[in-house]
Amino acid sequence: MKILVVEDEVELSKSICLYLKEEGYVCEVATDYSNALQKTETYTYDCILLDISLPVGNGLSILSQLKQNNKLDGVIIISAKNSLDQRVKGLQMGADDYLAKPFHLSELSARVGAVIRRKKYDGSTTLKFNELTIDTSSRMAYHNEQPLDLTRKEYELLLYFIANKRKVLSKNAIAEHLWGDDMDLANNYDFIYTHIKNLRKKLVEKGSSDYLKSVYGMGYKFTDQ
Amino acid sequence: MKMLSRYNRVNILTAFFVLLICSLSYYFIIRNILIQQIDKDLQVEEQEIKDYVTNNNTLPKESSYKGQEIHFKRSGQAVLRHFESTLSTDSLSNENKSIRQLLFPVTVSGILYKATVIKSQTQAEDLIQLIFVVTAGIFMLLLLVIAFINRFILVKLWQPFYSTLQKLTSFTVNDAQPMHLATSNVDEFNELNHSVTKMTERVSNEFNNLKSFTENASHEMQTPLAVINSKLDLLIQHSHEGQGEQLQAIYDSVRRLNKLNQTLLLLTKIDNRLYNLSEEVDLKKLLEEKFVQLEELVQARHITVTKSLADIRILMNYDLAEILINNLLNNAIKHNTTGGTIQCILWDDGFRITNTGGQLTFNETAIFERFQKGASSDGTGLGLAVVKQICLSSNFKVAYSYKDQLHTIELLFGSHQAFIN
Repeated sequence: MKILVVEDEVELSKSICLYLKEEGYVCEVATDYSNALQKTETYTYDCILLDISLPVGNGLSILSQLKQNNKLDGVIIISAKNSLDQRVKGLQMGADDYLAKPFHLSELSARVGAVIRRKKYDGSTTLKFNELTIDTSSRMAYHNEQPLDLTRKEYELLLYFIANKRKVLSKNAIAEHLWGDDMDLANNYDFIYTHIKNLRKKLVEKGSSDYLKSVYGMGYKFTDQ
Repeated sequence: MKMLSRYNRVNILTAFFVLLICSLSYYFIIRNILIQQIDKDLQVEEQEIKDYVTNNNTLPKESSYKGQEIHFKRSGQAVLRHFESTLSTDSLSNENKSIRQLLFPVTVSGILYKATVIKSQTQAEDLIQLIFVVTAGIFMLLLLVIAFINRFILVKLWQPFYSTLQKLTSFTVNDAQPMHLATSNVDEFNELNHSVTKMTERVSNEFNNLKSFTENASHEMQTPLAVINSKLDLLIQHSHEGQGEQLQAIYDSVRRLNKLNQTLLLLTKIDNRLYNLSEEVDLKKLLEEKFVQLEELVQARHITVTKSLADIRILMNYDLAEILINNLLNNAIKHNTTGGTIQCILWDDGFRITNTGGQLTFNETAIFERFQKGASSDGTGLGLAVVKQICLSSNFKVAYSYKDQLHTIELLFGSHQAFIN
């Protein structure tokens, strides 16, 4: 799976690549407009992470170039501007997703996975982790073909964990993923704990291994190691 | 005092005193000239009498002719030649009339006589009176004209000044429109208008610069925050026991900084009127949705929610409506007591949310101010400032009150903005 990161902030693109490489992606970086244009014209990527506020040139014109050339690369816009107008404009121009800075790498990774799933395997929208399977089209989770009876939040949580398997997810990243920006933080940590406790219980009841590990009180990890 | 009345007062007072002094001096000068004229006549008469006595060695006949009288009287003592003005009673009409007389000694054959030549001063007095009346009339007319000019011409002349003043009063920096000041045919006012236009342009420019600076600064902060966040995400993959607490604290601070930044950006955007305010928002639906989202929070604190929601739509921006409702509900939950209540009422042209909670630790008039928060609050202190700003931009009225352990925030939409479904 090849990913292109178009981002002028070197440290950010480094972080993104480091994280995505560990997830098994091949990651390339373009730090300016011309470099990005050259790369997108020459190669095909499974997903392009596009910062639209580049110092020279607009990221959106790279997007329109891609669409003009009928390229099927998935595109996720990364922007410092968290405005609805921008989001709508980007999505209308054919971007697959929009992520406002600052974001968690786990969130980015989950979105990249979702975009690639949509693009690559038409119809078969499943994620697997050992004996667990998630079908994102029907929003169902299975343990050895046996459906799991999960609440919406538990399903979201499981999907997020499997999309970031063997990674430590911070409580902040989980809270933002489940509740968005709007809610107060302090209370959410307790809710995360409750949801994770319930999810673990449901998985273990079905005979699954206990994959959910707490990491020093600041996050959780879904791992079989 | 208005400049005009002050100017009027000074002007008319000065004119009055100058005219009074002039009139008096004018009166005395004319009077003097006329008396001198009479005195000259009297002297001529004296000379004639003296010549007569020298030639005839006898006194001329006493006479009274055309207001001129001559009398002689024997005098036992020396007579001092002098002029005098006095009143004499007319034997016929028994009226007092003013006269001018010259007294001088005449010696005929060794006998000393006191000669008196009298001339009536009435004519001169009449003349003076006439002149005085005419002059006074002219002066009165002059005062009237000055008053008239001050009142009408000056008002008209200063009109451009007052119109500039009025425009300046209604000037707001938020206005994108530059000031349009009419040109006048008075150079001073044109200069004033020119300066005022320049100044307001400069103020508007500075204000716009400041606004875009805030927006740009907020945007520029997002990328470093993204870097910090991403580095943290990498760091926790290989962290050790004991670092958890520190990392968590950094995460929380970054999130808070981000939240603060987003909120400041939001406030700037509302200030800059970057939102379309004419969307129809189904407030009831929005409220129901938000309550579902916040259900966990409500349950966790054992809060009882009672709702009475009218089915209405209002004209405002949808995103802002969402933020408004979100902030109000979050506030009502956050500052509530465990086991408390929230009461939500939405009616034709207003919305009221009441929640239980302890007394504010700050002055309640400052509740909508930026960065105003309670001692124990871990929020940004911008929640209600945003509410206020959204209400201002949407032309809602917003008020806070606290009574019997109940905090109430009430919004009034204004009738033209609400529709009943």
